[in-house]
Amino acid sequence: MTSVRVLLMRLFCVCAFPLLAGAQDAPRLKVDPFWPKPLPNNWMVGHVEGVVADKDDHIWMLHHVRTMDHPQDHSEMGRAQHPPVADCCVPAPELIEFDAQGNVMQAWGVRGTTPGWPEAARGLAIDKQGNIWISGNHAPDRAVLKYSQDGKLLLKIGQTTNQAGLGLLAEPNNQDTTLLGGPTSLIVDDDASEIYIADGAINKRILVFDTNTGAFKRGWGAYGIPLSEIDNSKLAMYNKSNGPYDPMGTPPKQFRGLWAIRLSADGLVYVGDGKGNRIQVFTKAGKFVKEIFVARGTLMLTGTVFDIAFSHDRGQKYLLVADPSNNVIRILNRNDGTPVGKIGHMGHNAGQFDKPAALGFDSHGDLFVGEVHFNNRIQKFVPEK
Amino acid sequence: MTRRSALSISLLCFSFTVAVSQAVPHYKVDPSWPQELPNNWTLGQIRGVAVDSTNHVWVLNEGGADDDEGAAKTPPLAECCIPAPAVVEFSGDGKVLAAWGGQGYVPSWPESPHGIYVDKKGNVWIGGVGSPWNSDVGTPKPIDGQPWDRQVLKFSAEGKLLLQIGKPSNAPVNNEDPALLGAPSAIKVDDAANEVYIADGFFNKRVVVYDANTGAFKRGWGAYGIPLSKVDNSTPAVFPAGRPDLSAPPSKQFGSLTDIAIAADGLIYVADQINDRIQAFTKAGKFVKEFSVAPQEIGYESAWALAISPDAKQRYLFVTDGASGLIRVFDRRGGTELNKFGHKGRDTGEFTNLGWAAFDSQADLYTGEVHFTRSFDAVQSALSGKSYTPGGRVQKFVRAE
Repeated sequence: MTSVRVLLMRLFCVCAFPLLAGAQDAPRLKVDPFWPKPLPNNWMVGHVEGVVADKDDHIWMLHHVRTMDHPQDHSEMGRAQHPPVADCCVPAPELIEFDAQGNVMQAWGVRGTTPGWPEAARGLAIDKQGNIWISGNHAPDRAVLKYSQDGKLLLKIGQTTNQAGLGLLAEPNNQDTTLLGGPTSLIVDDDASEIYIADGAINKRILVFDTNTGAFKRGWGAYGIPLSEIDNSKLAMYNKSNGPYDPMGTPPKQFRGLWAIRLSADGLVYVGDGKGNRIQVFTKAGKFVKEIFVARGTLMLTGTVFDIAFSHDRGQKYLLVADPSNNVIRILNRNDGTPVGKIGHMGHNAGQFDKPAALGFDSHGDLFVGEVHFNNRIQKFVPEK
Repeated sequence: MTRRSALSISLLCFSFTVAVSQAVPHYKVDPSWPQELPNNWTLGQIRGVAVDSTNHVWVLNEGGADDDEGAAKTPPLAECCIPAPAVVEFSGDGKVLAAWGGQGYVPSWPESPHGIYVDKKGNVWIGGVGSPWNSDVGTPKPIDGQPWDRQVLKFSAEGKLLLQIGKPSNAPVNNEDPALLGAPSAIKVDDAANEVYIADGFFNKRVVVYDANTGAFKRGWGAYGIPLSKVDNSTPAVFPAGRPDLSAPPSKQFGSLTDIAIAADGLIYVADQINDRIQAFTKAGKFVKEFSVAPQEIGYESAWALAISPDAKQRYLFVTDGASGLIRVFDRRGGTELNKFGHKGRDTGEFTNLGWAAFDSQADLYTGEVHFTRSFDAVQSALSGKSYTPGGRVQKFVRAE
């Protein structure tokens, strides 16, 4: 029953800034606690699954309404009930455009209203023409959708199915390129007119399609294996017969759950195999280059890679990794994966994280971080002088 | 609502309005508070916030989501994090100074702690509402042989148990019995009189007063100051669903008491959450007045927590409305709502389930949000058997002039 007196001074050096282990030029970022401005219209958002800056440095945020509501108390959708039970709130449309100051410019993306809109919006990319690319990772969302900036459906890759519910209800098929399987992350290679898809909440593969025609170009699995060699068992998180997972053992030959795909300026494809606690790096042709483990011993189901961003310096010297199991943004040397720092720590206050899931830089090197359960918000971090 | 004495008669009406609107305090968040917790700690649900006479901030917390507590599992699932002890003392600049308490800390530690207060001598008082009420709205669960929280605990600042009023028990609700409380939710101490006032509670429907040293029962009353013999012993009210009946007469009994406050002029204020109202009494328990708080709200309702402004006249009563995510500022004497501030959400300075508010002596305001959203993860929760209700948040607000 003795009280624990806590000596703190030494501990507080960690704070919200990167630990600098011989990496003087690693990004140093601090939170801007007042971005964005309060949402209008009594809007409330759910899991923030995508954060992307467009060429005008407007920030596009994709969130997921279905994650908002508690079926019993409607505590976040009180104003949307019939009759309303509280002054606040109603669900915001799932795609929101902010200007650089954090004002809402427009919002759209409503299931049942916006053509093709997925049940569980997940991936977000914007191409050079300003088109918006969206995916979803529930059972019906077996497609990637291309929209104009004002919400006109321009192209669909894959198909929308009639199957209801979570992705775990869907059967993987890693050989069929007409139907996607839980596409979670997207990135466009504008010069080649190609879109890269992490098809990874049901399937275990990377797919590349033509951004104009939607024609299939190529695809591969972990370590660059051809699609024909990807097994069609359900992902480990849904398959209890797989037995206990030893993250320190032999790395799995197949992807365990893809949450991120990003293209570096020097032409490499970085794939976040989140539930494998690793990043695999490929050429654009799908040739395996290397893999980087991230907090490899983590046993938590969410894994350690929900999103990847490249540091804002010319050489993109560092990787920033959103780690939802440890509630930090990790900074790694892009070259060899050595950890050089962290941003933030667990919590619900400014600059803290509870399941960071989406990263995006604007042209000034400001970093925007979206969070899913449980913080459901977007935060802005600015470079420290 | 007093006017400034220097106003000329001819300007009285106009100036009166201006003086009031200017005087209603406005607040802005201090985003740097608190500092990072030590020891890889994470706060669970915020069950109470109090400020002591040295302006230290005491936070009662317990119970978070398993996914936030990976480092506490066997084997550890992640580097992050470990639940903080239940009682955490912060300095005014947000450093953790001490921490103690939690399940099993003393045998009578509440199953679901709720309400913290630090008296002038620095003693720490804690209530608990573990009961059928420790469940989701509209679905009170019977407890399987587990005793309900029927006790208030008094600790020294260092965490030594000094006094216990009531005890955990499954005895039937009895508002006439001073030996057992009924899910006491909030506590305040009248230091001059050495008396402790208890909002009792979530399934009793009364205010009870005890000697703060001996725990001897002094007095108690129900809604409108009715004697304890007339307080209803039926099953606790359930958070209502459907459309509120604004034409119905006010309930003669308390619904659920969530907070209690003592004003310097001797008035006792009680938040009756289910009934969307605040009742005021003399210290002897004589009913003075009541005022309603957003009566159109239903479900989780509007009157959650109370904080009396620390200006000399204590002109304002701040009422947290957790359902709408804002603070309603009332004229404490007149009972009219003057202002409201806040915005529901998880961004800095916004509020989720705002359950607690407390001022320090400099009129800085500390808030506690009970928990962040649960949701759709009910599906995953059912698959995994894990808790998906995450912890809450404490924030500091300073006057915005």
